[in-house]
Amino acid sequence: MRRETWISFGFMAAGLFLVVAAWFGDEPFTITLATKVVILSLAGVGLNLALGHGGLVSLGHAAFFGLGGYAMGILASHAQSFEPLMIGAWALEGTKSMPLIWLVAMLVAALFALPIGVLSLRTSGVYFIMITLAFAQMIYYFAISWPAYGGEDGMSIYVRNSFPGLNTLDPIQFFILCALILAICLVLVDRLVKSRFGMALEAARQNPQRVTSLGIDTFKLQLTAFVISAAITGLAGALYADLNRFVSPSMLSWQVSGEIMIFVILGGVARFAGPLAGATVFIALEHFLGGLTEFWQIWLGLLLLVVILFARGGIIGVLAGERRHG
Amino acid sequence: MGEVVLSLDRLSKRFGALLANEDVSLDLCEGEIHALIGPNGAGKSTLVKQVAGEIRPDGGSIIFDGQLINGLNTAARARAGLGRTFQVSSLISEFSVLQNVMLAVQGQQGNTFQFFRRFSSDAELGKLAGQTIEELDLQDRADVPVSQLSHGERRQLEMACALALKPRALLLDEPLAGIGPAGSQHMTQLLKKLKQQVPILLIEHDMAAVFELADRISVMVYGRIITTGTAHEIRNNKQVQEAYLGQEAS
Repeated sequence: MRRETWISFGFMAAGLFLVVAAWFGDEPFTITLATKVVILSLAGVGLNLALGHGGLVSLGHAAFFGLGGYAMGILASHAQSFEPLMIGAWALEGTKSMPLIWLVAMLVAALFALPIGVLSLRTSGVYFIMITLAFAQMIYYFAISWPAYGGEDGMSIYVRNSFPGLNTLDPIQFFILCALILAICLVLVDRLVKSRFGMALEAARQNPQRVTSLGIDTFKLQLTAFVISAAITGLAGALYADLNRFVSPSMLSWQVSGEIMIFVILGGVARFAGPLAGATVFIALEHFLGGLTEFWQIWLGLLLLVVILFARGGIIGVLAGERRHG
Repeated sequence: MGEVVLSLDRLSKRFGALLANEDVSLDLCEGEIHALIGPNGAGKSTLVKQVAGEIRPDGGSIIFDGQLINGLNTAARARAGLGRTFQVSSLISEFSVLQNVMLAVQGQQGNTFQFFRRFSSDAELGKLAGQTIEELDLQDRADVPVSQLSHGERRQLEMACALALKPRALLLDEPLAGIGPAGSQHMTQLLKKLKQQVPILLIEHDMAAVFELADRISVMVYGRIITTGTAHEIRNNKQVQEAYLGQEAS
Protein backbone atom coordinates (compact mmCIF):
# COMPACT_ATOMS: atom_id res chain seq x y z
CA MET A 1 0.00 0.00 0.00
CA ARG A 2 1.16 3.53 -0.67
CA ARG A 3 2.32 5.70 2.17
CA GLU A 4 -0.56 8.12 1.68
CA THR A 5 -3.05 5.29 2.17
CA TRP A 6 -1.40 4.31 5.46
CA ILE A 7 -1.45 7.89 6.65
CA SER A 8 -5.10 8.35 5.69
CA PHE A 9 -6.21 5.24 7.53
CA GLY A 10 -3.92 5.94 10.47
CA PHE A 11 -5.44 9.37 10.75
CA MET A 12 -8.99 8.04 10.73
CA ALA A 13 -8.10 5.30 13.24
CA ALA A 14 -6.66 7.92 15.60
CA GLY A 15 -9.86 9.95 15.28
CA LEU A 16 -12.02 6.94 16.02
CA PHE A 17 -9.83 6.07 19.01
CA LEU A 18 -10.36 9.55 20.46
CA VAL A 19 -14.11 9.23 20.04
CA VAL A 20 -14.17 5.80 21.70
CA ALA A 21 -12.07 7.20 24.56
CA ALA A 22 -14.51 10.11 24.91
CA TRP A 23 -17.40 7.66 24.95
CA PHE A 24 -15.88 5.59 27.76
CA GLY A 25 -14.89 8.75 29.57
CA ASP A 26 -18.48 10.01 29.25
CA GLU A 27 -17.61 13.24 27.45
CA PRO A 28 -20.52 13.82 25.06
CA PHE A 29 -19.21 17.25 24.14
CA THR A 30 -16.08 15.75 22.57
CA ILE A 31 -18.21 13.32 20.61
CA THR A 32 -20.37 16.15 19.31
CA LEU A 33 -17.24 18.06 18.34
CA ALA A 34 -16.00 14.99 16.46
CA THR A 35 -19.39 14.72 14.74
CA LYS A 36 -18.98 18.31 13.60
CA VAL A 37 -15.57 17.47 12.17
CA VAL A 38 -17.01 14.47 10.33
CA ILE A 39 -19.86 16.49 8.81
CA LEU A 40 -17.63 19.38 7.75
CA SER A 41 -15.18 16.85 6.28
CA LEU A 42 -18.04 15.52 4.19
CA ALA A 43 -18.70 19.03 2.87
CA GLY A 44 -15.00 19.18 2.05
CA VAL A 45 -15.12 15.80 0.30
CA GLY A 46 -17.79 17.29 -1.95
CA LEU A 47 -15.77 20.40 -2.74
CA ASN A 48 -12.59 18.36 -3.19
CA LEU A 49 -14.17 16.57 -6.14
CA ALA A 50 -14.82 19.86 -7.94
CA LEU A 51 -11.83 21.86 -6.72
CA GLY A 52 -9.18 19.19 -6.35
CA HIS A 53 -9.96 16.73 -9.10
CA GLY A 54 -11.88 18.96 -11.46
CA GLY A 55 -9.84 22.13 -10.97
CA LEU A 56 -13.09 24.05 -10.48
CA VAL A 57 -12.36 26.55 -7.73
CA SER A 58 -15.87 27.14 -6.42
CA LEU A 59 -16.35 29.83 -3.81
CA GLY A 60 -20.06 29.08 -3.78
CA HIS A 61 -20.30 25.73 -2.07
CA ALA A 62 -21.94 27.33 0.97
CA ALA A 63 -25.00 27.59 -1.29
CA PHE A 64 -25.22 23.80 -1.53
CA PHE A 65 -24.33 23.35 2.13
CA GLY A 66 -27.07 25.78 3.12
CA LEU A 67 -29.59 24.39 0.65
CA GLY A 68 -29.06 20.97 2.21
CA GLY A 69 -29.60 22.56 5.60
CA TYR A 70 -32.79 24.31 4.51
CA ALA A 71 -34.08 21.13 2.85
CA MET A 72 -33.84 19.51 6.26
CA GLY A 73 -35.25 22.56 8.06
CA ILE A 74 -38.23 23.00 5.79
CA LEU A 75 -39.20 19.32 5.71
CA ALA A 76 -38.80 18.94 9.48
CA SER A 77 -40.65 22.16 10.30
CA HIS A 78 -43.65 21.02 8.27
CA ALA A 79 -43.59 17.69 10.06
CA GLN A 80 -43.38 19.59 13.34
CA SER A 81 -46.37 21.81 12.58
CA PHE A 82 -48.38 19.15 10.70
CA GLU A 83 -48.99 21.66 7.92
CA PRO A 84 -48.43 20.32 4.44
CA LEU A 85 -45.77 21.97 2.28
CA MET A 86 -47.49 23.59 -0.69
CA ILE A 87 -45.60 23.59 -3.98
CA GLY A 88 -48.09 25.12 -6.40
CA ALA A 89 -51.14 22.87 -6.23
CA TRP A 90 -49.15 20.04 -4.69
CA ALA A 91 -49.37 19.37 -1.00
CA LEU A 92 -46.38 17.52 0.41
CA GLU A 93 -46.15 16.14 3.90
CA GLY A 94 -43.16 17.20 5.95
CA THR A 95 -40.94 14.44 7.24
CA LYS A 96 -38.66 13.67 10.15
CA SER A 97 -37.06 10.67 8.45
CA MET A 98 -33.36 11.21 7.89
CA PRO A 99 -32.93 9.02 4.79
CA LEU A 100 -35.74 10.86 3.04
CA ILE A 101 -34.36 14.24 4.11
CA TRP A 102 -30.90 13.31 2.86
CA LEU A 103 -32.28 12.31 -0.50
CA VAL A 104 -34.19 15.58 -0.84
CA ALA A 105 -31.15 17.60 0.32
CA MET A 106 -28.93 15.99 -2.31
CA LEU A 107 -31.54 16.43 -5.02
CA VAL A 108 -32.13 20.09 -4.18
CA ALA A 109 -28.39 20.83 -4.12
CA ALA A 110 -27.93 19.02 -7.44
CA LEU A 111 -30.90 20.81 -9.02
CA PHE A 112 -29.44 24.18 -8.06
CA ALA A 113 -25.93 23.15 -9.10
CA LEU A 114 -27.07 22.28 -12.60
CA PRO A 115 -27.99 25.78 -13.84
CA ILE A 116 -25.29 27.40 -11.69
CA GLY A 117 -22.75 25.04 -13.25
CA VAL A 118 -24.03 25.57 -16.78
CA LEU A 119 -23.59 29.32 -16.42
CA SER A 120 -20.40 29.31 -14.33
CA LEU A 121 -18.54 26.80 -16.52
CA ARG A 122 -18.61 29.26 -19.40
CA THR A 123 -15.89 31.03 -17.44
CA SER A 124 -12.71 29.86 -15.80
CA GLY A 125 -10.10 31.04 -13.30
CA VAL A 126 -10.94 34.13 -11.28
CA TYR A 127 -14.23 34.63 -13.11
CA PHE A 128 -15.38 31.16 -12.12
CA ILE A 129 -14.56 31.92 -8.48
CA MET A 130 -16.49 35.18 -8.65
CA ILE A 131 -19.55 33.87 -10.45
CA THR A 132 -19.97 30.91 -8.08
CA LEU A 133 -19.63 33.38 -5.19
CA ALA A 134 -22.25 35.62 -6.77
CA PHE A 135 -24.78 32.79 -7.09
CA ALA A 136 -24.20 31.76 -3.48
CA GLN A 137 -24.72 35.34 -2.32
CA MET A 138 -27.98 35.57 -4.24
CA ILE A 139 -29.30 32.51 -2.40
CA TYR A 140 -27.96 33.88 0.90
CA TYR A 141 -29.84 37.17 0.52
CA PHE A 142 -32.93 35.35 -0.63
CA ALA A 143 -32.89 33.25 2.55
CA ILE A 144 -32.47 36.39 4.70
CA SER A 145 -35.43 38.12 3.13
CA TRP A 146 -37.77 35.14 3.03
CA PRO A 147 -39.81 35.30 6.23
CA ALA A 148 -41.65 31.99 5.85
CA TYR A 149 -38.74 29.99 7.28
CA GLY A 150 -37.30 32.31 9.87
CA GLY A 151 -35.66 34.86 7.58
CA GLU A 152 -32.53 36.28 9.11
CA ASP A 153 -33.10 34.49 12.44
CA GLY A 154 -33.22 31.02 10.95
CA MET A 155 -35.34 28.32 12.52
CA SER A 156 -34.99 25.69 15.18
CA ILE A 157 -35.98 22.07 14.89
CA TYR A 158 -36.73 20.90 18.40
CA VAL A 159 -36.12 17.20 18.07
CA ARG A 160 -33.39 15.67 15.94
CA ASN A 161 -34.73 13.78 12.94
CA SER A 162 -35.02 10.04 13.16
CA PHE A 163 -33.22 7.14 11.60
CA PRO A 164 -34.84 3.68 11.72
CA GLY A 165 -33.47 1.68 14.63
CA LEU A 166 -31.33 4.43 16.12
CA ASN A 167 -31.71 7.01 18.86
CA THR A 168 -30.20 9.93 16.98
CA LEU A 169 -30.20 12.18 20.05
CA ASP A 170 -27.56 9.94 21.63
CA PRO A 171 -24.29 11.62 20.55
CA ILE A 172 -22.39 8.41 19.89
CA GLN A 173 -25.18 6.96 17.73
CA PHE A 174 -25.44 10.13 15.67
CA PHE A 175 -21.65 10.21 15.36
CA ILE A 176 -21.54 6.63 14.07
CA LEU A 177 -24.26 7.42 11.54
CA CYS A 178 -22.37 10.47 10.24
CA ALA A 179 -19.05 8.64 10.20
CA LEU A 180 -20.59 5.81 8.17
CA ILE A 181 -21.97 8.27 5.64
CA LEU A 182 -18.57 9.93 5.39
CA ALA A 183 -16.89 6.55 4.88
CA ILE A 184 -19.35 5.59 2.15
CA CYS A 185 -18.90 8.92 0.38
CA LEU A 186 -15.11 8.68 0.65
CA VAL A 187 -15.13 5.23 -0.94
CA LEU A 188 -17.56 6.26 -3.68
CA VAL A 189 -15.63 9.42 -4.52
CA ASP A 190 -12.38 7.44 -4.53
CA ARG A 191 -13.86 4.97 -7.00
CA LEU A 192 -15.24 7.80 -9.09
CA VAL A 193 -11.91 9.59 -9.23
CA LYS A 194 -10.16 6.43 -10.43
CA SER A 195 -12.83 5.52 -12.99
CA ARG A 196 -12.92 6.45 -16.67
CA PHE A 197 -14.91 9.52 -15.76
CA GLY A 198 -12.50 10.54 -13.03
CA MET A 199 -9.42 10.14 -15.18
CA ALA A 200 -10.96 12.19 -17.96
CA LEU A 201 -11.92 14.85 -15.41
CA GLU A 202 -8.37 14.88 -14.05
CA ALA A 203 -7.01 15.11 -17.59
CA ALA A 204 -9.37 17.98 -18.40
CA ARG A 205 -8.03 19.85 -15.38
CA GLN A 206 -4.49 19.49 -16.67
CA ASN A 207 -5.07 20.00 -20.37
CA PRO A 208 -8.58 20.63 -21.69
CA GLN A 209 -7.31 21.03 -25.26
CA ARG A 210 -5.94 17.49 -25.26
CA VAL A 211 -9.12 16.00 -23.82
CA THR A 212 -11.28 17.81 -26.38
CA SER A 213 -9.08 16.58 -29.20
CA LEU A 214 -9.81 13.04 -28.03
CA GLY A 215 -13.49 13.62 -28.63
CA ILE A 216 -14.42 14.06 -24.96
CA ASP A 217 -16.56 17.08 -24.02
CA THR A 218 -14.85 18.80 -21.10
CA PHE A 219 -17.97 20.85 -20.34
CA LYS A 220 -20.08 17.74 -19.73
CA LEU A 221 -17.33 16.23 -17.57
CA GLN A 222 -16.96 19.30 -15.41
CA LEU A 223 -20.68 19.93 -15.12
CA THR A 224 -21.26 16.36 -13.94
CA ALA A 225 -18.45 16.67 -11.40
CA PHE A 226 -19.83 20.00 -10.19
CA VAL A 227 -23.33 18.58 -9.69
CA ILE A 228 -22.10 15.48 -7.83
CA SER A 229 -19.85 17.67 -5.73
CA ALA A 230 -22.80 19.91 -4.84
CA ALA A 231 -24.98 16.94 -3.90
CA ILE A 232 -22.36 15.65 -1.44
CA THR A 233 -21.96 19.08 0.12
CA GLY A 234 -25.77 19.35 0.28
CA LEU A 235 -25.92 16.07 2.19
CA ALA A 236 -23.35 17.45 4.62
CA GLY A 237 -25.53 20.54 5.02
CA ALA A 238 -28.56 18.44 5.99
CA LEU A 239 -26.47 16.57 8.59
CA TYR A 240 -25.00 19.81 9.93
CA ALA A 241 -28.44 21.32 10.41
CA ASP A 242 -29.49 18.16 12.18
CA LEU A 243 -26.44 18.28 14.42
CA ASN A 244 -27.29 21.81 15.55
CA ARG A 245 -31.06 21.29 15.25
CA PHE A 246 -30.98 24.74 13.73
CA VAL A 247 -30.66 26.23 10.27
CA SER A 248 -30.07 29.87 9.39
CA PRO A 249 -28.78 31.96 6.48
CA SER A 250 -25.30 31.89 8.06
CA MET A 251 -24.92 28.38 6.60
CA LEU A 252 -25.20 30.04 3.18
CA SER A 253 -22.72 32.83 3.83
CA TRP A 254 -19.53 33.21 1.86
CA GLN A 255 -17.48 32.65 5.00
CA VAL A 256 -18.73 29.07 4.97
CA SER A 257 -17.63 28.71 1.33
CA GLY A 258 -14.24 29.97 2.40
CA GLU A 259 -14.07 27.58 5.34
CA ILE A 260 -14.91 24.55 3.21
CA MET A 261 -12.21 25.66 0.80
CA ILE A 262 -9.76 26.00 3.70
CA PHE A 263 -10.46 22.39 4.76
CA VAL A 264 -9.54 21.20 1.29
CA ILE A 265 -6.44 23.34 0.85
CA LEU A 266 -5.16 22.85 4.40
CA GLY A 267 -5.62 19.09 4.26
CA GLY A 268 -4.35 18.60 0.73
CA VAL A 269 -5.99 19.33 -2.59
CA ALA A 270 -7.17 16.19 -4.42
CA ARG A 271 -6.00 13.96 -1.55
CA PHE A 272 -8.22 11.12 -0.36
CA ALA A 273 -8.25 12.19 3.30
CA GLY A 274 -7.36 15.83 2.68
CA PRO A 275 -10.72 17.35 3.69
CA LEU A 276 -10.70 15.23 6.86
CA ALA A 277 -7.27 16.42 7.92
CA GLY A 278 -8.18 20.00 7.04
CA ALA A 279 -11.48 20.02 8.91
CA THR A 280 -9.89 18.34 11.94
CA VAL A 281 -7.12 20.91 12.21
CA PHE A 282 -9.56 23.75 11.59
CA ILE A 283 -11.99 22.66 14.30
CA ALA A 284 -9.17 21.80 16.71
CA LEU A 285 -7.73 25.30 16.26
CA GLU A 286 -11.14 26.90 16.60
CA HIS A 287 -11.85 24.94 19.77
CA PHE A 288 -8.51 25.05 21.59
CA LEU A 289 -7.01 28.29 20.34
CA GLY A 290 -10.45 29.90 20.27
CA GLY A 291 -10.66 29.11 24.00
CA LEU A 292 -7.44 31.04 24.60
CA THR A 293 -7.90 34.02 22.34
CA GLU A 294 -10.57 35.67 20.27
CA PHE A 295 -7.99 36.17 17.55
CA TRP A 296 -7.36 32.49 16.85
CA GLN A 297 -7.93 33.06 13.15
CA ILE A 298 -4.62 34.93 12.95
CA TRP A 299 -2.94 31.61 13.71
CA LEU A 300 -5.15 29.82 11.22
CA GLY A 301 -4.12 32.41 8.64
CA LEU A 302 -0.46 31.86 9.41
CA LEU A 303 -0.85 28.10 9.14
CA LEU A 304 -2.65 28.46 5.81
CA LEU A 305 0.10 30.75 4.57
CA VAL A 306 2.78 28.22 5.51
CA VAL A 307 0.86 25.39 3.83
CA ILE A 308 0.37 27.36 0.62
CA LEU A 309 3.95 28.63 0.48
CA PHE A 310 5.85 25.53 1.57
CA ALA A 311 3.52 22.54 1.33
CA ARG A 312 1.35 22.64 -1.74
CA GLY A 313 0.12 19.11 -1.01
CA GLY A 314 -1.34 20.26 2.33
CA ILE A 315 -1.03 18.31 5.56
CA ILE A 316 -1.51 14.94 3.86
CA GLY A 317 0.95 15.93 1.16
CA VAL A 318 3.66 16.78 3.69
CA LEU A 319 3.16 13.52 5.58
CA ALA A 320 2.96 11.37 2.45
CA GLY A 321 5.99 13.09 0.98
CA GLU A 322 4.84 12.77 -2.60
CA ARG A 323 4.27 15.64 -4.91
CA ARG A 324 1.12 15.81 -6.93
CA HIS A 325 -0.56 18.76 -8.57
CA GLY A 326 2.05 21.26 -9.70
CA MET B 1 -6.04 8.58 -56.16
CA GLY B 2 -8.62 7.28 -53.72
CA GLU B 3 -11.90 8.89 -52.76
CA VAL B 4 -12.03 12.32 -51.12
CA VAL B 5 -12.12 12.15 -47.31
CA LEU B 6 -11.80 15.80 -46.37
CA SER B 7 -12.73 18.69 -48.56
CA LEU B 8 -12.45 22.40 -47.82
CA ASP B 9 -14.48 24.68 -50.02
CA ARG B 10 -13.69 28.41 -50.16
CA LEU B 11 -12.87 28.74 -46.44
CA SER B 12 -12.31 32.30 -45.27
CA LYS B 13 -11.29 33.72 -41.94
CA ARG B 14 -10.67 37.34 -41.07
CA PHE B 15 -9.15 38.74 -37.87
CA GLY B 16 -10.03 42.45 -37.94
CA ALA B 17 -8.25 43.88 -40.97
CA LEU B 18 -6.13 40.77 -41.44
CA LEU B 19 -7.40 38.26 -43.95
CA ALA B 20 -5.90 35.08 -42.50
CA ASN B 21 -7.50 32.68 -44.97
CA GLU B 22 -9.16 33.70 -48.22
CA ASP B 23 -11.20 31.28 -50.31
CA VAL B 24 -9.09 28.30 -49.40
CA SER B 25 -10.15 25.15 -51.25
CA LEU B 26 -8.30 21.93 -50.73
CA ASP B 27 -9.03 18.23 -50.54
CA LEU B 28 -7.49 15.20 -48.96
CA CYS B 29 -7.89 11.77 -50.55
CA GLU B 30 -7.62 8.22 -49.27
CA GLY B 31 -4.03 6.96 -49.19
CA GLU B 32 -2.27 10.27 -49.65
CA ILE B 33 -0.20 12.76 -47.74
CA HIS B 34 -1.23 16.24 -48.74
CA ALA B 35 1.32 18.78 -47.50
CA LEU B 36 0.51 22.41 -46.86
CA ILE B 37 3.56 24.64 -47.00
CA GLY B 38 4.11 28.37 -46.93
CA PRO B 39 6.11 31.05 -45.18
CA ASN B 40 5.50 31.94 -41.53
CA GLY B 41 2.28 33.85 -41.05
CA ALA B 42 0.76 32.53 -44.27
CA GLY B 43 -2.28 31.26 -42.38
CA LYS B 44 -1.54 27.54 -42.20
CA SER B 45 -2.26 27.20 -38.49
CA THR B 46 -5.44 29.24 -38.84
CA LEU B 47 -6.58 26.77 -41.46
CA VAL B 48 -5.80 23.79 -39.23
CA LYS B 49 -7.71 25.38 -36.36
CA GLN B 50 -10.73 25.90 -38.59
CA VAL B 51 -10.68 22.31 -39.74
CA ALA B 52 -10.26 21.05 -36.16
CA GLY B 53 -13.09 23.29 -34.98
CA GLU B 54 -11.18 25.58 -32.65
CA ILE B 55 -12.16 28.66 -34.63
CA ARG B 56 -15.22 29.20 -36.74
CA PRO B 57 -14.79 30.13 -40.39
CA ASP B 58 -16.39 33.36 -41.63
CA GLY B 59 -17.31 31.64 -44.87
CA GLY B 60 -16.97 28.41 -46.78
CA SER B 61 -17.60 24.81 -45.87
CA ILE B 62 -15.73 21.83 -44.45
CA ILE B 63 -16.92 18.47 -45.67
CA PHE B 64 -15.57 15.44 -43.88
CA ASP B 65 -16.48 11.89 -44.79
CA GLY B 66 -19.33 13.18 -46.94
CA GLN B 67 -20.82 15.36 -44.22
CA LEU B 68 -20.81 19.09 -43.61
CA ILE B 69 -19.08 19.51 -40.24
CA ASN B 70 -19.07 23.31 -39.92
CA GLY B 71 -21.56 23.10 -37.06
CA LEU B 72 -19.73 20.46 -35.02
CA ASN B 73 -17.54 21.44 -32.07
CA THR B 74 -13.97 20.21 -31.64
CA ALA B 75 -14.87 17.16 -29.56
CA ALA B 76 -17.58 16.10 -32.00
CA ARG B 77 -15.17 16.40 -34.94
CA ALA B 78 -12.67 14.23 -33.10
CA ARG B 79 -15.42 11.66 -32.49
CA ALA B 80 -16.28 11.82 -36.19
CA GLY B 81 -12.72 10.65 -36.91
CA LEU B 82 -10.60 13.74 -37.28
CA GLY B 83 -7.33 13.07 -35.43
CA ARG B 84 -4.74 15.74 -34.89
CA THR B 85 -1.42 16.65 -33.33
CA PHE B 86 -0.48 20.11 -32.17
CA GLN B 87 2.29 22.47 -33.16
CA VAL B 88 3.35 22.61 -29.51
CA SER B 89 2.98 19.19 -27.83
CA SER B 90 -0.24 18.97 -25.90
CA LEU B 91 -0.39 16.01 -23.53
CA ILE B 92 -1.55 15.18 -20.00
CA SER B 93 1.77 15.81 -18.29
CA GLU B 94 1.04 14.09 -14.96
CA PHE B 95 -0.16 10.93 -16.72
CA SER B 96 2.11 8.15 -17.96
CA VAL B 97 2.55 7.33 -21.64
CA LEU B 98 0.17 4.39 -21.30
CA GLN B 99 -2.46 6.46 -19.47
CA ASN B 100 -2.38 9.12 -22.18
CA VAL B 101 -3.06 6.54 -24.87
CA MET B 102 -5.67 4.77 -22.73
CA LEU B 103 -7.55 8.04 -22.45
CA ALA B 104 -7.44 8.34 -26.24
CA VAL B 105 -8.86 4.82 -26.59
CA GLN B 106 -11.57 5.81 -24.12
CA GLY B 107 -12.35 8.84 -26.27
CA GLN B 108 -12.61 6.62 -29.32
CA GLN B 109 -14.96 4.21 -27.56
CA GLY B 110 -17.07 7.11 -26.37
CA ASN B 111 -17.86 5.66 -22.94
CA THR B 112 -16.37 8.23 -20.62
CA PHE B 113 -19.36 8.35 -18.31
CA GLN B 114 -18.54 5.22 -16.31
CA PHE B 115 -18.15 6.05 -12.67
CA PHE B 116 -17.21 2.90 -10.83
CA ARG B 117 -14.87 0.58 -12.70
CA ARG B 118 -11.17 1.30 -12.26
CA PHE B 119 -9.55 2.99 -15.24
CA SER B 120 -6.07 1.65 -14.50
CA SER B 121 -7.14 -2.00 -14.36
CA ASP B 122 -9.42 -1.76 -17.40
CA ALA B 123 -8.06 -4.62 -19.49
CA GLU B 124 -9.78 -3.52 -22.67
CA LEU B 125 -8.35 0.00 -22.57
CA GLY B 126 -4.93 -1.31 -21.61
CA LYS B 127 -4.81 -3.85 -24.42
CA LEU B 128 -5.79 -1.46 -27.19
CA ALA B 129 -3.51 1.26 -25.87
CA GLY B 130 -0.65 -1.25 -25.60
CA GLN B 131 -1.00 -2.15 -29.27
CA THR B 132 -0.84 1.49 -30.34
CA ILE B 133 2.16 2.13 -28.12
CA GLU B 134 3.99 -0.80 -29.72
CA GLU B 135 3.22 0.51 -33.19
CA LEU B 136 5.09 3.64 -32.24
CA ASP B 137 7.99 1.93 -30.44
CA LEU B 138 7.09 3.46 -27.09
CA GLN B 139 6.54 0.16 -25.24
CA ASP B 140 9.69 0.57 -23.13
CA ARG B 141 8.48 3.95 -21.95
CA ALA B 142 4.88 2.95 -21.20
CA ASP B 143 4.97 3.76 -17.48
CA VAL B 144 7.09 6.90 -17.70
CA PRO B 145 5.28 10.14 -16.89
CA VAL B 146 5.02 12.54 -19.81
CA SER B 147 6.95 15.20 -17.90
CA GLN B 148 10.07 12.98 -18.19
CA LEU B 149 9.83 12.31 -21.92
CA SER B 150 12.14 13.83 -24.50
CA HIS B 151 10.69 16.18 -27.07
CA GLY B 152 10.84 13.54 -29.78
CA GLU B 153 9.09 11.01 -27.56
CA ARG B 154 6.32 13.48 -26.88
CA ARG B 155 5.82 13.87 -30.60
CA GLN B 156 5.57 10.09 -30.93
CA LEU B 157 3.11 9.94 -28.05
CA GLU B 158 0.93 12.63 -29.62
CA MET B 159 0.89 10.52 -32.73
CA ALA B 160 -0.05 7.46 -30.68
CA CYS B 161 -2.97 9.35 -29.13
CA ALA B 162 -4.14 10.49 -32.55
CA LEU B 163 -3.92 6.95 -33.93
CA ALA B 164 -5.72 5.43 -30.97
CA LEU B 165 -8.75 7.43 -32.08
CA LYS B 166 -8.81 5.27 -35.25
CA PRO B 167 -9.09 8.44 -37.31
CA ARG B 168 -10.44 8.73 -40.85
CA ALA B 169 -8.01 11.60 -41.44
CA LEU B 170 -5.03 13.08 -39.60
CA LEU B 171 -4.14 16.74 -39.22
CA LEU B 172 -0.48 17.02 -38.31
CA ASP B 173 0.79 20.48 -37.41
CA GLU B 174 4.59 20.43 -37.79
CA PRO B 175 5.23 16.92 -36.45
CA LEU B 176 8.94 17.16 -37.28
CA ALA B 177 9.61 20.49 -35.58
CA GLY B 178 12.48 20.37 -33.11
CA ILE B 179 13.03 16.61 -32.90
CA GLY B 180 16.51 16.47 -34.48
CA PRO B 181 17.71 14.65 -37.62
CA ALA B 182 17.45 11.11 -36.21
CA GLY B 183 13.97 11.68 -34.79
CA SER B 184 12.97 13.37 -38.00
CA GLN B 185 14.03 10.37 -40.08
CA HIS B 186 12.22 8.01 -37.74
CA MET B 187 9.03 10.08 -37.97
CA THR B 188 9.30 10.33 -41.76
CA GLN B 189 9.43 6.53 -42.03
CA LEU B 190 6.47 6.29 -39.69
CA LEU B 191 4.38 8.74 -41.71
CA LYS B 192 5.17 6.86 -44.92
CA LYS B 193 3.86 3.69 -43.31
CA LEU B 194 0.85 5.45 -41.82
CA LYS B 195 -0.52 6.97 -44.99
CA GLN B 196 -1.63 3.53 -46.13
CA GLN B 197 -4.01 3.43 -43.16
CA VAL B 198 -5.12 7.01 -42.96
CA PRO B 199 -4.75 10.08 -45.18
CA ILE B 200 -2.69 12.90 -43.71
CA LEU B 201 -2.91 16.66 -44.06
CA LEU B 202 0.62 17.68 -43.17
CA ILE B 203 1.79 21.15 -42.22
CA GLU B 204 5.58 21.13 -42.21
CA HIS B 205 8.55 23.43 -42.62
CA ASP B 206 11.14 20.72 -43.28
CA MET B 207 11.21 20.86 -47.09
CA ALA B 208 13.32 17.74 -47.55
CA ALA B 209 10.76 15.74 -45.60
CA VAL B 210 7.83 17.34 -47.41
CA PHE B 211 9.26 16.56 -50.84
CA GLU B 212 10.00 13.01 -49.75
CA LEU B 213 6.60 12.35 -48.18
CA ALA B 214 3.94 14.35 -49.93
CA ASP B 215 1.89 13.04 -52.80
CA ARG B 216 0.52 16.49 -53.34
CA ILE B 217 1.65 19.86 -52.04
CA SER B 218 -0.38 23.04 -51.65
CA VAL B 219 1.45 26.33 -51.24
CA MET B 220 -0.12 29.03 -49.11
CA VAL B 221 0.98 32.63 -49.25
CA TYR B 222 -0.80 35.53 -47.55
CA GLY B 223 -3.81 33.38 -46.72
CA ARG B 224 -4.37 32.07 -50.26
CA ILE B 225 -3.40 28.80 -51.84
CA ILE B 226 -1.39 29.86 -54.89
CA THR B 227 -0.93 26.41 -56.36
CA THR B 228 -1.39 22.69 -55.72
CA GLY B 229 0.63 19.96 -57.41
CA THR B 230 3.06 17.06 -57.09
CA ALA B 231 6.50 17.55 -55.54
CA HIS B 232 8.02 17.81 -59.02
CA GLU B 233 5.51 20.43 -60.19
CA ILE B 234 5.94 22.53 -57.06
CA ARG B 235 9.72 22.46 -57.23
CA ASN B 236 9.63 23.83 -60.76
CA ASN B 237 6.89 26.40 -60.19
CA LYS B 238 8.21 29.95 -60.73
CA GLN B 239 5.63 31.55 -58.45
CA VAL B 240 6.49 29.20 -55.62
CA GLN B 241 10.20 29.73 -56.02
CA GLU B 242 9.68 33.46 -55.74
CA ALA B 243 7.32 33.33 -52.82
CA TYR B 244 8.94 30.71 -50.75
CA LEU B 245 11.62 28.32 -51.88
CA GLY B 246 13.79 31.04 -53.39
CA GLN B 247 13.93 32.87 -50.10
CA GLU B 248 15.02 29.76 -48.32
CA ALA B 249 17.74 28.93 -50.83
CA SER B 250 19.30 32.39 -50.66
